[in-house]
Amino acid sequence: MKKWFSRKLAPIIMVAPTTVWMILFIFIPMIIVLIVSLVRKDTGGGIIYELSGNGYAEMFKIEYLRIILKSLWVALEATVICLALGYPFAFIISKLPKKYINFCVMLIMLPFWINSVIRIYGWDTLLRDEGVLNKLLMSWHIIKHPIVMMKTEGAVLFGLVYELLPFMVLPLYTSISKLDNSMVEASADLGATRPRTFTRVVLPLTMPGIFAGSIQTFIPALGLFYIGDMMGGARYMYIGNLINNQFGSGRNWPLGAALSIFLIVLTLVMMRQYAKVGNLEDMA
Amino acid sequence: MRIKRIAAGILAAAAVLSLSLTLFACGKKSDKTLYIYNWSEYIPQEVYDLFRQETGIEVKETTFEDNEEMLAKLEAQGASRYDLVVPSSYVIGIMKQKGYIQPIEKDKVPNLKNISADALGKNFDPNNEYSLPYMATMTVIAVNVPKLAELGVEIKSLNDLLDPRLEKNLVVVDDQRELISAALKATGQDPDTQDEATILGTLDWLIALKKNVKEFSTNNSKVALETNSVAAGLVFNLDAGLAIFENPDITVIYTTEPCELAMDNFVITAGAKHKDYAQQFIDFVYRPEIYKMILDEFPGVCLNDAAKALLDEDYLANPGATVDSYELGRAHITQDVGDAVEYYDDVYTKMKIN
Repeated sequence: MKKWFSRKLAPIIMVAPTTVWMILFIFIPMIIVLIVSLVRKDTGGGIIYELSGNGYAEMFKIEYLRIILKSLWVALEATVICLALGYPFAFIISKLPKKYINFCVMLIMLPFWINSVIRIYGWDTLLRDEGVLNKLLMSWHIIKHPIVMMKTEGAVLFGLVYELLPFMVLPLYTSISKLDNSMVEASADLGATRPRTFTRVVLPLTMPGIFAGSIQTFIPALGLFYIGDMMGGARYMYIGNLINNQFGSGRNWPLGAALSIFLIVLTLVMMRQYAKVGNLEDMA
Repeated sequence: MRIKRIAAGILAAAAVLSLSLTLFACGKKSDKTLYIYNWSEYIPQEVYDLFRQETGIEVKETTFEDNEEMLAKLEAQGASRYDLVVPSSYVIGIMKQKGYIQPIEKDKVPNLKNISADALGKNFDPNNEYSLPYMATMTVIAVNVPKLAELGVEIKSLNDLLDPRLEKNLVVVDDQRELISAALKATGQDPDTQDEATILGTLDWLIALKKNVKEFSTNNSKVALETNSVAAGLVFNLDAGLAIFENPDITVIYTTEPCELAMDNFVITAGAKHKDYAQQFIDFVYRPEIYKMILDEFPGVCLNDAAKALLDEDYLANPGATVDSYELGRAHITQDVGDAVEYYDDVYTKMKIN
């Protein structure tokens, strides 16, 4: 009886909550989204249960394609900037004395303890025309008129980079800290210059981290619609806003669901690509 | 080995326990509870607390940010999840048609006598069979007087919002109906039109407006005004009122075109489990001192004559909180446009990506 318990029942009990969780909160909602994307819209919001491809057909309006392309572009920009900032950052952390490493990694995680919307509000207080930074610069006579920083496209990009940098740094750090220093030494011994060692040895060995970090930055960057609203003053529309609108004032649920399915498929394709290139261990 | 097994057992027990707790914790609730679905920042918590102290009925509030979000949630979850909802005038027709709401027993709401006659019998519910007025929100132009003077801009018509000197200097509500209504009124057309060409025709006006918009914001416009971030705004009077209380440079001005008005109403859901409590609560809110308490926190348009008599001087002097009565009388009440909402959404999206 005891043996049976530990061999069969215990693992089931251990896995069951996660499975139930996944089914309840990931699998079933996804199925619902899929169903909504395939039926007809009702006046005043809601749906009529009649099969229809309108949701997908309407996706191909030129405006929506422009919004999708723009969202992909901004997400790419944010990813590249995060990578450029995050790579040296992760490298420095991994080379620190052991006792500081944990502290530094904790500092990267620290922002997650505060709700991201509240943190974005914080930037508004700091950066707006009569905000802390402009007031300081003006009182030091460095500038005469406030610099307009908030409610611009630049601010949206800044918000994305700020919010997503930890997602880039953490996998990079994992990957870089696994880098075997003897490889670097061997490369130097064999006469490679430092840039060559970097491009031929360090970069390929840390590629899984780069890939993991990029995916973990790129995908959420597509969905963070409130950053466009709060940092960009909602002057631009991104795919997240577009989806949100279709369930709200647009009253077109099937279109919103179809756009969501598009995003989900895009994510799955990228994850698959990642599984091929990288190593899933670095996703954590 | 043994330790491992014990640890596994403890973990398994903990997992089962936590799962069952999450599943069953939801089952227990008090009987005397009124479920209200309301705009965020529209009824202060003290009102609910006072109601509970007096009647022993606990009020559980869920909030929404716009009418469509509310409709979507009722559609998805069923209306009877809530007892009392506070929708705007133009969705009441849809709610009636979809069977979300039921008639209100007006004899259970004696304080209805405090409500201004002007607020009753509107065309969305001529006999107030299904809805009783709560407050109204008028969309007004709030201006920062010194900033506007510095720019040399005077606003007399909605068209003046397109003045190139106002570049990136406006805050406007992020609401397609409001902004397209403004465009239609400015160009002398019916603000409730369902005609595709007319609606799509507002694109140029909207694009010109967008050049001057620094921020589209429905819920945060008061911050932009308060902090002198913008010279003017097309905002709800409630936000203008709050900004004026904080920043005396802000005032409200009216244009040749009428303002847009949304009446927010109490409705009782079709399957409401606590219709009595809901009516009791409406009656409670209609008491002059309670209604005044709400206005002091959220200065919407007062529809309660008895409460109006109690208002403080600085409230009456605030042109955002106390809107002009002539303008209120001639304001246009936003109507539902049915399936034409598609064209509204279309032109709004086009403006946003431009």
